[in-house]
Amino acid sequence: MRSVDTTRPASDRDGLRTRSVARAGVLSAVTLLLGWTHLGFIPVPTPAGAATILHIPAILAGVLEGPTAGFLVGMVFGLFSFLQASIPLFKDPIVAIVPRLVIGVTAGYAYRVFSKSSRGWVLGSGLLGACIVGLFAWQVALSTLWLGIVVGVLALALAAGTVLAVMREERERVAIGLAAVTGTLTNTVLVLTLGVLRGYLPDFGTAAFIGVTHGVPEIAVAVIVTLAVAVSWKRLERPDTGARL
Amino acid sequence: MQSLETLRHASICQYVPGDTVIHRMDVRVKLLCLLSLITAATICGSYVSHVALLSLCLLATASMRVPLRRVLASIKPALPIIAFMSTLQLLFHGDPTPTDTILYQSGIVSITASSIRSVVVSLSRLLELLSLVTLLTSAATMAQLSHGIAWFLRPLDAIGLPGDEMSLVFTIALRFLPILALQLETLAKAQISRGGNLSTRGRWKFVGTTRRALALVVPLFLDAFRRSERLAVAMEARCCTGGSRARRSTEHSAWRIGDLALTVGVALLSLALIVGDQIILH
Repeated sequence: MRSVDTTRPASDRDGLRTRSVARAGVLSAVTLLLGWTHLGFIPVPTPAGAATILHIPAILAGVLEGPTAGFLVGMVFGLFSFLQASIPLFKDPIVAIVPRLVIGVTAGYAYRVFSKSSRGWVLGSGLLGACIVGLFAWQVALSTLWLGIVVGVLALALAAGTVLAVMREERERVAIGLAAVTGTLTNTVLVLTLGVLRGYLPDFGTAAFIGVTHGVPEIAVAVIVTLAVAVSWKRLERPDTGARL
Repeated sequence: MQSLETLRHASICQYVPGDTVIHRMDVRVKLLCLLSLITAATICGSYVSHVALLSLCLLATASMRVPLRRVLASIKPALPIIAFMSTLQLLFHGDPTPTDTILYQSGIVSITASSIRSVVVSLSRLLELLSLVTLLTSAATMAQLSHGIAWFLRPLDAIGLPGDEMSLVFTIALRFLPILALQLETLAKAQISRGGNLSTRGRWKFVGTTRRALALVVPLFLDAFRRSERLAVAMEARCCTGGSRARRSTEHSAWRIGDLALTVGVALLSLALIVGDQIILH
């Protein structure tokens, strides 16, 4: 399917093309479907009960069609989460909708930055991110030792992954993966911060605990799904590149 | 497999046909009233304002003849988590302020008047928002809602934001939901026929659950992209480009005096509740 003309008519404003609107609409439908069938909630043994993959369509829209499309899909996710919620935390529009608007936007910009930047940049920002996570791990370890160790291992994995990826010259995949990490972190961090600020969670310690137990599996799943879908779709879109055997 | 068969009849919005006062309202009035009541329910934090809001919600539910059971049905699966969070909130609600009445204290556990209030308020806020949202989706079809939302987003076009695209995205999402549900069913059957096991779901087997979910989710995404490509071609072939004004097929009727009065009345009521609430709390 390469029949869509890429030279755009003058009536298009602010860069949102027909194809972007169509793709954002269909990705929103995927969000609704995953949420409605509960396929998008993966049961985990924590009090909250489930890790979500509903933010992945917003990340994909941000990566493939840019921040504006990511914003639109995030809005549908937020509205769905607000309308379907049955716990007080997500029946608050400020917690349910506002953070979700930003997921696709940050993921889209992260993809743009990382796919165009040089190796040094990717290496630098990856290591900087690992340092920030490491510092956070130290802070957590001061209060809860084992939780700190878990976060510390995560920081090491982030650093190792960045170095490995830069060495293997997989810029496109690294950019998609980092966009998925950015989008998921945006969701987790903003929801939990707003949850504490609005008084649904007792303090930042509880929020950090939920953040680690839910954020880590969500990041892993988001990276896997986003990479699988985005890479294979980009290859389908450009048949000339062919499959790598 | 049985659950997959029912997917094709999926509908998020459970519209209840009827001819009550709320049904007859303009959809924009419904949305505006909902917005002001949600604002009041979200901001208010005192007992008095929540008693008022709860009774208002009950009144509206009764006037629409929606059974209360339907409103409460969606809470049921979430009861354990609600109980857990409420207990946390009750027992560890931070340090008591000097003016707070301490009812019970031992170790890190402290129950104060304000922690009890925050638990009661967040539970009643949940009930209010739940009933308001259920009432809205019972009284308006998805098509009506999407036209109503599109009307409110029109001013965004003037400042360069994609208001028209937003409503288009909503419409496409709702139209594609049943199609993708059917596709999901096909995918699930295809995986099962190859010997894939999709049924076991356990809290402790989350790695396996994730892998099984991925076997459905990744092909679902790729299929959705293929469909979006075809949709884009079809839209462009009909000269429907993003943001074109020609797409607006439905126009809303003019505002009636009664509609305006009701909207302003509900907005003033919510404002009064918020102001009164702030006076009581401080």
